[in-house]
Amino acid sequence: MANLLLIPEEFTLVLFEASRMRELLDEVLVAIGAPSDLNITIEVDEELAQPMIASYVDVDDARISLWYSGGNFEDTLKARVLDEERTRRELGVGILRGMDRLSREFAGAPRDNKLSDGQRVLWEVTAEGRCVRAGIPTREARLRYVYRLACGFSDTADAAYEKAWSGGFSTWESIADAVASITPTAETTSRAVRRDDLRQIRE
Amino acid sequence: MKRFLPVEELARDERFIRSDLAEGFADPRNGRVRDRTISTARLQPDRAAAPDRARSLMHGIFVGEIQALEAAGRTTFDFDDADAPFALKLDMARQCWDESRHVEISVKLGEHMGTEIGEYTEATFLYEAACVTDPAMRLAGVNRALEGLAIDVFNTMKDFGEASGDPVLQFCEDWMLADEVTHVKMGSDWLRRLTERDPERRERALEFQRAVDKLFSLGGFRGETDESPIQIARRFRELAGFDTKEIDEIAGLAAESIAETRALLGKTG
Amino acid sequence: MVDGRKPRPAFAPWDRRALPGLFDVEESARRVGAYAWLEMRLFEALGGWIATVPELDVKLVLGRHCYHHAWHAEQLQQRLPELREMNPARLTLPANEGIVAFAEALIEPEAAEQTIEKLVGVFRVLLPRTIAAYTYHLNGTSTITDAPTIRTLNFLLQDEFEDWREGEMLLQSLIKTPEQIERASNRAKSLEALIVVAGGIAGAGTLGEEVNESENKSEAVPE
Ligand SMILES: [Fe+2]
Ligand SMILES: [Fe+2]
Repeated sequence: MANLLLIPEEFTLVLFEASRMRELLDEVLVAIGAPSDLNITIEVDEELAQPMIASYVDVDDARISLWYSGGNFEDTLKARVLDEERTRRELGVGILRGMDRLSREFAGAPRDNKLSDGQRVLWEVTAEGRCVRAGIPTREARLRYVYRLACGFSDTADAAYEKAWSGGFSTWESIADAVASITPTAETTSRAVRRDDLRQIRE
Repeated sequence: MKRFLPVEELARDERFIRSDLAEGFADPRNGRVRDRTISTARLQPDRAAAPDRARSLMHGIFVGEIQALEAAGRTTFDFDDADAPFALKLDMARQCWDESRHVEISVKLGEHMGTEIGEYTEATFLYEAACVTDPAMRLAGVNRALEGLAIDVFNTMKDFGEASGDPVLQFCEDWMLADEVTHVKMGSDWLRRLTERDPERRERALEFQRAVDKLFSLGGFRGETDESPIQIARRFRELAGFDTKEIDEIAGLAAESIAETRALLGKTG
Repeated sequence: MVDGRKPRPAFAPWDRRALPGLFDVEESARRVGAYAWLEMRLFEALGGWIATVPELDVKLVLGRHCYHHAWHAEQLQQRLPELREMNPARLTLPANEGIVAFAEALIEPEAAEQTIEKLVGVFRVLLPRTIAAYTYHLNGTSTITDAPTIRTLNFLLQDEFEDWREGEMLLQSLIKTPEQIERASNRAKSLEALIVVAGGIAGAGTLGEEVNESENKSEAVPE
């Protein structure tokens, strides 16, 4: 399967098995029909517990680079325990967005820390929709709320969501245009700072 | 049915999982995040992980409403008329109806925010405060300390709804806030009436209230600075019968608690 | 133009209210006090049960109904000073010892597995009895002299009907197996036996049956 670099190699603060995470990644790659020659780095910040969740998807030298808060994979009922269903979903969305970034259609997309919340979430909606169609269960109700917080509680925003969910956006420009056309509420303007708060500290 | 139902006997369906406090304390990640300078802990839409923090807080409110309902219900049953006059029980029955609606609102709000019953665990601090056997203490701990906390939480959530342009959240929190103000007022009124001729009893009740207030200021959870996710709602607390001195005292507890946590982590400033 | 000076009868032709009634002041007050006593036991039980039922919808309904019955007790007690009892607590009494036994049995179930027993007691035994007793009272008492009691009972009855319907629907949704049917009917049977011995929620003659004069008064037990 893919060439994976997992950081850390073994987990010490949480009770995740690195080997299990690798198996789940393989399952996801098969489900979404990923090419077999992908180069992937997954970095998990074990110190961050749920609900402090965040993630970054970028491409560096043709390598998909995923950064996650440990909370993204954590069972909400059992602290420090891996939630396999969540893990499949998070990895599915991450890899699909990484594959987007490797394609010509997304060549113009800024790095994740330069995206506005709206751009970022609408892109995620397209990826989660694809996950569901690939048989990876998602939490659609949660995603819709996260999306509305970023893009506003309005019919126009909801219409863009539906379009993204059903695969209506396949280029970076179409996503950026859709977000620009959603009348932003006072609080949904670009704010890349949000996720940085959780990640920057390590850098 | 016996009087005084211990917390272990609260009846729940299989969706509800109790929080494991020991596990929480033993989590090696504790303190590490706090050590990393995250700018503000306030619950604001533009803050780190805001959607999931709001969702998990909403679930916490939901289970809190269930326990508030159960606590008020127990107060209608646990005491003789001599210990708790009919008028007090009538207030508690009214609170039952209010909390029952709050549970209903919370379920619908939870759905709106994409969470579901049982997504997070249930901590039972609230009901535990209602297990004391002196009605004056119970009213002080539940209706003054915890319902007071509810005022702070709902006001914080209302602000969050306003800032994020979420009309549903704003609408619901506004209504719940109105009810909670009356619940705190009930606590203040009955504490005064029950302890009119017994200053020692009143002091014990207030002491218990302070202990509960302190518990919820733990680690700066509730306060008046950027370090607290839940902000003290001074205006609504005044409406509910708290005087400025009492509110200052709660703010002081929060500051004290933040300082203690800092000391524990060997951090200054 | 209507001539306001032209005498009209005090009672319009369609107003058929009449003076005679079944109860004197004392009897109406005794009944109101007995209702208030039972409404109190009921709201306390509903309040206490909230924490003991695992079914979320039942929990919420109990919370709502708890207030309804507390409010009923308050409304009834407010009527007592108007019926010559300045200290409402003094007349807020069980009709007889049989009613005390019934109330104790009603409140008894506690375990989380006993939701059916709790609800059957309230919705299949007690509320049908309160509806019957309040209806008898307002049909029998003087529509002119005791009109305030009638008004109060009508408010109460509106809640009682709606609450009974809601509780009955909950029960129908909970009772599914032969074992549950058995539990529900056993529970109804045992409570029914107690309230029949008591003569109804206001004691012997609750619905106007022939009563030996001394039957209720001598048995009334202050709390
Ligand atoms: Fe509440
Ligand atoms: Fe409340």
